[in-house]
Parts: sequence; C-alpha cells; structure tokens
Amino acid sequence: MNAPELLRKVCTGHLMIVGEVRSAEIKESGVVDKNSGLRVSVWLLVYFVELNREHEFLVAKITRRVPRDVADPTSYPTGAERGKCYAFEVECVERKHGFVSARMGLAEPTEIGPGEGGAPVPAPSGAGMGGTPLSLV
Amino acid sequence: MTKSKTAFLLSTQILGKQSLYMWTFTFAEVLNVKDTRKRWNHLLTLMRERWPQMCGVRVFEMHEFHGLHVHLVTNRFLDVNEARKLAHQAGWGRIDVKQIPIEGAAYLGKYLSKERPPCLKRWRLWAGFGEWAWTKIKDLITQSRFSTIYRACKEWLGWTGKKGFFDRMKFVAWLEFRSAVEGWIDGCGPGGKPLWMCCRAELMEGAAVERPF
Repeated sequence: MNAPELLRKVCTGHLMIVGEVRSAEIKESGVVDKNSGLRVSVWLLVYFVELNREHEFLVAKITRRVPRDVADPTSYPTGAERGKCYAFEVECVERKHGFVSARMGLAEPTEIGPGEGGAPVPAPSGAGMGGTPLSLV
Repeated sequence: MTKSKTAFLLSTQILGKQSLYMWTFTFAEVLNVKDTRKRWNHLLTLMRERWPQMCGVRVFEMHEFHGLHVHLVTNRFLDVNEARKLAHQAGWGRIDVKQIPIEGAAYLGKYLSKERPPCLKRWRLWAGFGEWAWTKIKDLITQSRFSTIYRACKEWLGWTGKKGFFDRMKFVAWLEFRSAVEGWIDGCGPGGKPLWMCCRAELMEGAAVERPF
C-alpha cells in the first residue's frame, strides 16, 4: 500500500493505524469458571506497534482473532514482520492503561512501502505519557 | 468479550445440556424503567410461587422503540397459558416463547455487548434466579499474558486493596509491552528470572529511548 491508497482508505471512512511493528505474536487468552470448571478461550494475534508520531513515543496494542476453524492456531501466520511498517485497519480504538488499544477485523495488516509511511521519528528522552511507571518498584 | 458476557454464556452452558426455552416479555405501551423492573419482580415472584423448581437467567434489553423488556431463559417446559395469566396479573403485555439450542442463548449475549443506556447504569443487565449455581464474575479466572504479569507483580510488590489501581495497570501494561518486545516469559523478567529478582535497571535495560509512558 502506498500513501495515496492509504489516504483514500482513510477518506472513505476506514479507521487505520500505521506504525512499525515491534512484536507480533499469537497468544491464547481465556477465562475459567472456578466453580464449574468450564472454560472459554480464544487465540489472538497481538501486535505491538510503534506509532509514527512526531516527538512522541506512543505504542498501540492491536489484537486480531485467529479464525476458529484453524486447526493449529500457533502456526497461523501473523501477517506482519518485526521492524517493518504496516497499516492496520481496525474496528475500534480506545486509550487503555497508557496504550492505544485497538481491535482488528478480518483484514490482514498491509505493508507500507519504503518511504511511504516512513520510519518512526525518534522520541526525545523523557517524552511520552507521564514517565515510566517504575516508580511503583 | 466482557467478563459479564462470558459469565452469562458459561451460565447458559451450565443451565442446559440439550435445549433451552427462551421467553420474551413485553408491554403494550412504553413504561419507565423503574416501573418495568417493579413489574418484573412481581411477575418473577408469581412465577416462582407457581413453579418453585423454576430456574434460569433473565436479561434486560432496552429496545429502540419498545422500551425496556425482559428475556428469560429456562431449562424446563412451563405452560405458556398459565404464564400468560400470571403476566397479565403482574401488568405485562405480550409473551413469546420458543425452544432454542444451547448455542442460541449466545444470541441473548449480544444484548450484553451493546452500549449500556445511561438509565441502566449500575443495573444488573442479566441475573440468574432459582436454586442453581450460575457463574458469577468473581468466579472467573482470566488467563492471559496481562493477567499473568499482574499476578506476578501483585505477589512481588504485595499489592492489596484498590489504592493506585490505575498506576498498577499502567505498570503491568508497560511490562506486557516489554515482555512482548524482548521475548520474556510471561510474568518473568529478562533471562526467565522472576520479577522479584530483577532490579530496576534490568527491567529498563534497552528501553531508555523507548519509554512508552
């Protein structure tokens, strides 16, 4: 995808998050009822994406469901490579625990060609969202 | 999926093994929500007097045009004519009932995903009734990377009570990000060391420029 295509998508009402993928993993997330022992679980693709913001370091946690009919979810392709820039079409976005948290639909992330999205602008030291929360330690 | 919805879906699995009955109770006219709740309590009391063994779950739904109405899922057959008499006695209008497969109860779960109308703030959108142990939110144990890290931090830093809750969540989110990027084992620091064995510098190492917060 190139910049005009991306702009066209945004202008036609698609919610897009663009950034450099820092991590792409498949994780199981579930809930167990400790009384009945019943369990509900789902396999999720979790992307941590560094957003291309000027002078600010911002991370987005983007999740996507692995389809239920996949036999071996652990080997499901993540569709993104660490260190590359991608556009993620998301369904909903919220600010949660200092992250931008977003959920994707079925669409795979689309790689942004070199020079289109650009590499993230390095944040100045100390920039961010209120300092590292290591004060708790 | 919210914890409440998950608890609802697990409850419906406990409630029935083969099929369930879904009841819908509505009014001819739109009532205010408090009156609806009062009438629902009245109806439920009448129904439980008539069928003491009745058990199930009820869901409140705010309809776009018809106001608040109630869905009921039960695991046994109830005579609809008698139920209708009781409903009229309690001031309700129409009744509809149909047999549904267990998976069909998930349909009711969709109401729990909808945005909660302000007038239903702090209401229990669903609840069980009768003599059975339905799933409650406090019975649910979450299994995810975030929850694993949270439990490890709680043990390490001796977190109790609600004080500083949002700071804790931020801290755990930051550790989750670090774990994902650095490839740490969930709930551990670098090299698989338990978090309580890690010093501040180890957790921060390589993150000097990449402060997410």
